[in-house]
This record gives sequence, structure tokens and C-alpha cells, in this order.
Amino acid sequence: MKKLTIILLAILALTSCKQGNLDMLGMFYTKSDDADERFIQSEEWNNEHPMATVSVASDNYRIYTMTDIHVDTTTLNLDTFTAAFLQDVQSTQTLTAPFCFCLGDVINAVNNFPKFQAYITKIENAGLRVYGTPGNHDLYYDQWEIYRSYWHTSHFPLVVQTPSGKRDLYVFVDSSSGTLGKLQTEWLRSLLKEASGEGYRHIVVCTHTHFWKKDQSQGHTSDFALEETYELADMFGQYGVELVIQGHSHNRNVQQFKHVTYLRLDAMEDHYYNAFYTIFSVGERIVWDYVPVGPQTHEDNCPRVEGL
Amino acid sequence: MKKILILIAIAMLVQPSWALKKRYMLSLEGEYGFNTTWQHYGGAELKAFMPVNDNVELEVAAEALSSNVFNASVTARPKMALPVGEMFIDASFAYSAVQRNRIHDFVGAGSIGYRMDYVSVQVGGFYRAMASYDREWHSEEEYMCEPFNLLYRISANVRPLCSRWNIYMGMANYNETQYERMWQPLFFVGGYYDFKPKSSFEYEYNAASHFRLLAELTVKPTGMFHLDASFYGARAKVGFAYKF
Repeated sequence: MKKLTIILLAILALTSCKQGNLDMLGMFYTKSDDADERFIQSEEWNNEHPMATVSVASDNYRIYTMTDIHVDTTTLNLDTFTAAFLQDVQSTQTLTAPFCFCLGDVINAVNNFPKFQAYITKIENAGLRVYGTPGNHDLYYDQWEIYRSYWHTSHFPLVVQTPSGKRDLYVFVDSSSGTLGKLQTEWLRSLLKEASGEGYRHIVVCTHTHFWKKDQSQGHTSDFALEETYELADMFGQYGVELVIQGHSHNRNVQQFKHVTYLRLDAMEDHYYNAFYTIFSVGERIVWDYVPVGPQTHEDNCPRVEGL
Repeated sequence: MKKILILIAIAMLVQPSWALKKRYMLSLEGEYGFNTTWQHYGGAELKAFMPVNDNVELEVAAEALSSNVFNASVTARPKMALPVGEMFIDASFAYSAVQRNRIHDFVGAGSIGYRMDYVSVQVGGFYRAMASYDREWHSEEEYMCEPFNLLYRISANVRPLCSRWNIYMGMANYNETQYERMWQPLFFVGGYYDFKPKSSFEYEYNAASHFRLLAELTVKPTGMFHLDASFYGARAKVGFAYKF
């Protein structure tokens, strides 16, 4: 009886206390808007603020990318990432893109958005941008409205133009509920279909939830439903997507299916055993470099550079 | 004769359901489903249950869906009666031809289960390999395998297994034709009803009814273990089975 009481109290604490890390009620229903509702709200913003083409100063450029930062009590790795990004932009202005990517789970639980946003402000004050899409942790405890107040949209296309007229397309999609939803799937299909005939050098999809269950690192993280996995894998292959960048499982993995490369990135969470951020070097090929971050990093068996 | 019949009846009453001799069964069910990706779809499922002997069962299922997906599976089930309940091992192979997306999906599964009159639990693992229709040998980019997925199923009946009607409900990450990833559970509720044969005595002990009405509703949420769950799809099946 004593044990049962403790378990019940623990469940109660996890489900009701705003300081908890896990919104257990989210197992049964989300208090945040669902994927279709988020899509509609994001489209309103996208229509009012169409994504401009971003120019870079070189045909070959670098993109700093972070995912699964899970900001909680500390921001050590975020400090390192931001400092490295800002320094790199200053020292190699022609090589480093004036923006970085973030693939979601920026916070671990409630009340931590302001801590993360302080870094976004710092980057924006330097004249740079952060493009991102939410992860599931960013929606716990009805946080979509908070996320939206900072990021405004959860899905959008980003076109990067190089000096010689080459264009790369990056499509950010919101998979934080483990599904894109009906409306976002239709939007994505239409966008990719159109893009496949427009001569982009690279088409890259960026999202939070991973598509495949390859090893034990996804033991704690869920995927898309099978029907949606089939559909999206086929869509990506059909419309010439070259690379799909994902987070969520905290561990890197590279797979190919239907001539599309699926790259899962390491987490950048503080105190994580293998915390890394990733720098993509985009030219005729896309190559990526895992950069260790944080005092507890172990580089054993971690190849540093991979590419398409 | 009367005494003998009474003795047989008593014997059948005290005999647990799992120990009753099972009969061959062939079923055909119509399906209607909806999910976020395929939207509305219909289908048909043909299933055969074959008790080879007292210790081995075979199940074969084939399903065609209007979403242009075709599934088939075969399960061999060695089993052993215990003082209470029955232990069984499922060895299954499933194949899906996802024609709409030009993908083959192969699954090999192994699990161990224990069932009693009112409760059944099963746990195991499965291997998945997907291949593009356009795959050629040695083209690694057209092939995807998922080496290990947990398989589980837990269900409860409102009446003993041998009853002439029953209602069951439970949670699993697989059914006869689909094996989902471990964090993608399927919730189901279903039932069956055996039509009354001519002899009411046989009917009472479910020994001679040939026709069975079947129905099942399955709901699939997504993002449950993201703690950001939402509805993804549902499927209803209704059909008949013939026992012989």
C-alpha cells in the first residue's frame, strides 16, 4: 500500500506539477494544438511573412546545426555553440552562412524558453538568424503558444542562393506530434513536387522526429506511424530530396533508402555523454562534421566527417 | 445414456477453456478505416485458423486494402497446457506490398505468450526489412532494416475463451497484418458471437456451432510516447467465420 501511494504521488507530481519534466497526460492527449491546427496557425504567419531567399557569400558555405538542447538548469553547451558560431561567422565571413539551424527540443520542460531565447537574441543581435522547427518537448504542458510567440511558425521553406546563382532548398517540417498531419503532408507534397522541377542544387528536409528505428538509441523515442513512414519515404525519393536531417533520439545515424540519405544528429544537451553539434559544409556535395561539445564528451568510435 | 451425458457435461464444465479442443476456422471480414495519411479506405481480410494437433496451431491471414496495400502473414504456434493457463510461442512472418509507395515490408517475429480464460499476455521481438520495388541486389540505398523492435500484446476478455460470445479489449503493437514500432500502440476492442446450432446442448458448450459473427475496432494514436499524443487512425472490421 505504501509503494502504491508513492507511485500514485509520483504520477500526480509528474502530471500536475508545472515544474515536472514529463507531461504524462500527454500520453493520452495533447493540450497543445494538434498538427493540423499548428499548420494553419503557422501558415497565417508564413503568408504574412513570406520566407525571403537568403544569399550567402560563397558557393560553398557552412551551416551550424544543433538539436535536442533540452535547456534546463544549465546552458553550457549552448554557450559553446553560440560562441563558436559567432566567432566562425566573424573569422570566415565568406564561408559560414549567416544563419544556423535548430531541429527542436530546445527546452526540457516548462519555464525554460526565456533561457533559450536569450541565445537566439544574442545571435540575432549579431545580424544572424536561427531557423528551427519544434520538438515534442517544446510542446509539453501546452507550450505551443509560447513556442509560437518566439518562433512564429513551425514549418517553412528556406531558399539559399549562392553568388553563382545556385539555389539550395531547405524545408522545415513540424513532426513534434509524431505526425505531419494531413494539411502539412499535402503542403509538403505540393512544395516538393514543384521544387523537383526547379533545378535546385540540393533539396534538404529538416525535422525533429526520426523515421527509422535502427538501434537501441531509439529505445526511448517514438517514430512516425508506419503508413506515414511509407508515404514520406516514397515522397522524398520521388521528388529528389537528397538529405533528411532529424534529431529526437540523441544519437547519430546515417541511412539511405530510396536514394535519400537520412541523417540523425547527436543531441547537444548539457551533461549528455556524447554531446555534439554538427557543421554542414554545402557545396556540390554536402559534408558534415560532428563537433564535440561539453566536458563529458567521449569521442571514441565517433567518426568526425561524413558526407553524401 | 442420460447419466453419461450428465457426466460429459460436468467434465466439460470443469475443463478449462484453453484445454478444449479447438476447431478449424475460416473467416472473412470487411474493413473500413481512416488515418491521417491514407484518409478513408476499405478492405477485406481472409483468415484461417488451423489446429494441427493438441500442441500446434497455424494461422494464416491475407488482407487487401483499397489504399493499394496488400498484407499477408503466417504464424506457427507451438503451445503447452499448464496447470493454470496455457503457454505458447508465436513464430510469425508477415509481408506487406505497399503498392502505393512501391515498398516491400517484411517482418519476422518471435514471441512468447501466456493465456488464461480472461487474460492473455504476449511479449517478444521482431525484425523488419523494407525494400523499394526498384531495388536491385547490392543496392544498399534501396533497402532499410530495423534489426529489433519490441513486440507486445495484452488483452482481457469479459468471458472465458470458450464462451459462445465474448468481448475482448487490449493493447498491442501488432495485429495479423501490421507490425508497428514499439512506441506506436494499437488499442482494440472486439467481440464474437456464435450462432445457435440445432442442438441446444451442443450450443451450450460451443461444440457444434458453425457460424461466428466477428467485430473489432482498432484505434491508433500517434506521439503517445512523445507525450504529445494525437489521434492518427482507426479501423473497424466486421465479418463471419465458419468453424469445422
